[in-house]
Amino acid sequence: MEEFLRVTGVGKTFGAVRALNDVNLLASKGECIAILGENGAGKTTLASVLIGLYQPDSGQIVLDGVQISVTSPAAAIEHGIGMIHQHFSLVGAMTAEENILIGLPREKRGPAARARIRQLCDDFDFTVDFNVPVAKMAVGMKQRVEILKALFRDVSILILDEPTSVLAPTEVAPFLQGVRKLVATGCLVFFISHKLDEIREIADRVMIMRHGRVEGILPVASTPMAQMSALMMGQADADQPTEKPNTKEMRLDTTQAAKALVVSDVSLTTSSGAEILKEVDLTLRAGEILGIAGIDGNGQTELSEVITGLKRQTSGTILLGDKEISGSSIAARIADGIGFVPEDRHAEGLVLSLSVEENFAFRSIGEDKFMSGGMISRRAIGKIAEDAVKAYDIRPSNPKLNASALSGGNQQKIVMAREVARARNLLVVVQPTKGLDVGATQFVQDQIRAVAQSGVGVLYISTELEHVLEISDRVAVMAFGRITGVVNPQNTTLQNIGLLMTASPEEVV
Amino acid sequence: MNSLVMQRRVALALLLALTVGGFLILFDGHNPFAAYKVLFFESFLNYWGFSNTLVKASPMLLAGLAVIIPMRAGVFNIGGEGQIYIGGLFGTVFALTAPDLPTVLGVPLIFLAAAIGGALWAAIPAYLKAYRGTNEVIVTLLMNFVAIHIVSYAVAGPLLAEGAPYPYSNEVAEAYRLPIVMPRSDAHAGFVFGLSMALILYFWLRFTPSGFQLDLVGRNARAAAYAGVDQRKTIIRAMLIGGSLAGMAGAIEVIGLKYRLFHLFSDGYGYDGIVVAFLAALNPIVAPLTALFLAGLSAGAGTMQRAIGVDSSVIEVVEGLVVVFVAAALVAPRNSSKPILKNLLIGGLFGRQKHSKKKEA
Repeated sequence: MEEFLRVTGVGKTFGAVRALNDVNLLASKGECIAILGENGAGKTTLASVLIGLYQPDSGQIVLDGVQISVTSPAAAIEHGIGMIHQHFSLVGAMTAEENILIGLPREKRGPAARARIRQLCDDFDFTVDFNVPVAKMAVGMKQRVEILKALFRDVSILILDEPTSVLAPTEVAPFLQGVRKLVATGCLVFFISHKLDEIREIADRVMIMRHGRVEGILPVASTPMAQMSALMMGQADADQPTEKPNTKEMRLDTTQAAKALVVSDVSLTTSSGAEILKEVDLTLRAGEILGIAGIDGNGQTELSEVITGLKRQTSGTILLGDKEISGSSIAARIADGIGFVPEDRHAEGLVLSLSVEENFAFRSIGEDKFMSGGMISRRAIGKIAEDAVKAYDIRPSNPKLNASALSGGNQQKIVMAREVARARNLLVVVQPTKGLDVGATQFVQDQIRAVAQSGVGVLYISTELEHVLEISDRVAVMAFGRITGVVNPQNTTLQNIGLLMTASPEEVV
Repeated sequence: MNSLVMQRRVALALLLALTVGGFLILFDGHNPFAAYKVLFFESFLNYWGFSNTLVKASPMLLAGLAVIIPMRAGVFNIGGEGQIYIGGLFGTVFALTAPDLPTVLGVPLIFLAAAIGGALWAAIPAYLKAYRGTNEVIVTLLMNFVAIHIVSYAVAGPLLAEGAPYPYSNEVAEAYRLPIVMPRSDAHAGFVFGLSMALILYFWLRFTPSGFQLDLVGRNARAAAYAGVDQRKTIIRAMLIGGSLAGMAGAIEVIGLKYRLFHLFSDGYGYDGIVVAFLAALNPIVAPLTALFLAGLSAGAGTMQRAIGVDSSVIEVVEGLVVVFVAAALVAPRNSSKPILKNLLIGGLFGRQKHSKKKEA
C-alpha cells in the first residue's frame, strides 16, 4: 500500500469538549474509507479539519510526503481535497454548469471547460440535466452536480458526509456505482455514514470513531458487522442484548379505539395552480402509529403542515378527535395537544442561537408551565429543560449552552422531548431519524412507540421505508399528492409498496 | 451568537477604535493619552461637560432603542431620523394647541402625540415590508428626507413664529417643558425617561411572551411560524414600537432642550441610534451606556480641540472607526474564542465568513 495521506496525532478541542483526540490515519490512493461513529463521535470534525474549516490544535497532515497546513476550504481545494456536505452549497437559480464553474477565472470557464464537464459526466455515468436551474433538480442530481464541482477542481481526496441520507431509495445504487468509479480512477474517498450495509457495499476499510478517538481502522471484508457496531457503540453497550422484544405484539389492538385524527377530502393547490394534495382521506385512531410512505416530494411534508396548521388546505376538513380544527391557528392546535416534529430541525424545529432550555419553551412560551406571576419564569423553563435533558440523555448536559453546540442527534432529542411532552392527542413526526445513527434512531423510535402506547395517535411520515414498516401499525402510501393505498406492514410485499409509491396519477384515479 | 461573547467582542472593537484614533492623534503631533484624558474628563467628570453629554445622550438613547426593537425582529429601521422629525412635529403641534394642562398631564400627552407621529411614519415601511416584501432599509432611509422637509415646511409656514428671523415655531408653554435634572445646566430629564424605557424593553423582551416571540421572529422566522407566531404582525408591532421611541426622541429635543420646533432640529440623532444599537449588541439594557459613550465622544470633542489643539474631526474619525470595528466584530467567525483580535481584523474585515448562509439549492 503506497502511502498518500498521513494524519498523525490530530486533536481538536471546543471549550471543554475534546472533539478529536489523537487521531491517526494512513491512506492510499484508490481507496474508499468509511468513517463510522455515533452522533458526536468526531466524524464531521475530522472532515472539517481535513478541508480547512477548523484548524487542529495539534497533529500533522502529510499529503504525498509533504506536510501541509490546510487553512481554508480554498486551500484544501488547492491541495486536491474536496468535500460534499449534507447540505449542498449550490446556487438554486443557476444551472449545473454555472454552479460547477462558479468562482473560477474567466479563461477557465470557456467551451473547453463545458466540454470537460460533459466528459466527466460520461466517465462517471452521471446523468445531469444542463438546461434547468439547480433548484428544479431532484436531490440526487443536485448531489451529482456537487460531486462534479469537486471533480472539475481535480480533487484527489473526496469526503462525502452522509451522502445517501438525502437520496431516494432508487437513487442510492447509481450513486454508489459512481463512487466506485471514482475510487477506480485513483481518488481517495472518505465515506461518512451510519449505514452499515452501504459501508459493506462500498468501502475497503472502515474507520470507527467514538468520543473523538479512532477505535479501529479495519478491512471491511473481514470484519463482521457485529464487531463494527460493537466498536462504534463502545464495549459497555455491546454487552447489552441486541434483541429487542417485539413491541408490535405487545401493542394494543387499536382498531376499535377512538378516532384521534380524521382527514377528509383535503386538497391543497398552490397559487400557481400546482396540486400538492389531492382529496386526501386518512383516519388515525388513538394509540395507533400510521406510517406515511412515499418518495420525497409527493406531498407528505405538506400533509404534515396542513394537519399542524402551518399551511391552510384549499378544501376538505380535519377533525382532531371530535373537534373540527380545519381553520384553527397553529397556536390553537399547539394548545389542543398536537405535537409536531418537523422535517428540518435546523431551520424549523429549533432556534440554534437560543439556549437548549429556551428551545424547550419557544414553541409555547405563554403556557402556564413556563410562566409565573404573568411573566416568563426562567427558573421554570430551566427546571423543565433539566428534567428533559436527563430523561433523554441529551449531551452535553448543560441546558444553558446554545442549541447550535449540540450534535444532530442530540438536537433531534430536544425536538422529540418537547413535542412528545406536548402531544396529548396527536403526534406528527416527519423524517424523525434523518441523519441519526443507529443508537439515536432506536431511541427516537422507542419514544414514538411509548407515546402511542399511552394512547396518542402518531402520524409517522418518512421516506425511510424500513423504518416506516418497522414502526407502523398501518402504512399509507402517498404518490403525487394522493393516498394510493393503505397496507398492513405485516402482510405486504416491498413490490406492492413500490408499485403504490410510483403509481402514476392516471392509475389511481 | 452568545451575547456575552458578542459584548466582549464589541468592547474589544471599541478599544481598537480608540487605539487607531490614538495613532491619528499621535501623527497629528499630540499626545493621545493627554487628548483622551481631556476628552473623557470633560465629557464625564466635569459638571458642565457631563450635562452636555446627557443632553446629547437622551435622543441618542431613544433613537438607539428605536433601532434595537425592530432589529430584534429582523427588521432594520434606518428611519429613526425621519421618525424623530415627525414625532417632534406631532409633539409640538399638540403642545402649541392644547389648552392649559398641568405638567403631569401635558408632558405625557405630548410624549403620546410624538409617539403616535413616529409610529405612523414607521407604519408605512412596516406595512410595505410585512405585506409587500419591500426592503425596509430603502423605504425607511428615503422617508427620512421626506420627514425633514415636512418639518421644514411646517416651521416655515403654518407653524412659523410671528416675527421669527429663522424657521422655527412658537415656544411651548413652561408647564410643558421637561424638568432640569442638573441645576443651572441644560441637562433635562430626557435621559431618565430613556433609561426607564430601556429597562421596560429589556424586561419585555426577556420576560413576556410577546417580547420573546418578537425576538424569535428575528432569530429564525420559520421556527417562529412553527411556534404559531404571526410574522407579519410581529414586524408591524416591532416597527410601530421603534417609530414611537424615535418619535419621543423628537419630543425630547423640543420640550427638553429647545422649547421650539426648529427646522433641521435633529442633527443626525436617528443615525447615531444605529451606532448606539449595534454598540449595545442589540441589548436594550446596554444601550444607555453606549448612548452615554457616544454622546461623550461628541460632547468632549470640542473641548479637546480647544485644550490640546487636536482637530475635533479626529473624534469623528474615531466614531467612524467604532462603527467599522463593531460591524467587523459582529460578523467575525463564530466559535473561535482564542484569536479574537485576529478575527476582528482579518476574519471580520477581510475574511470569508465561514458560516455565511449560502443559499441552499
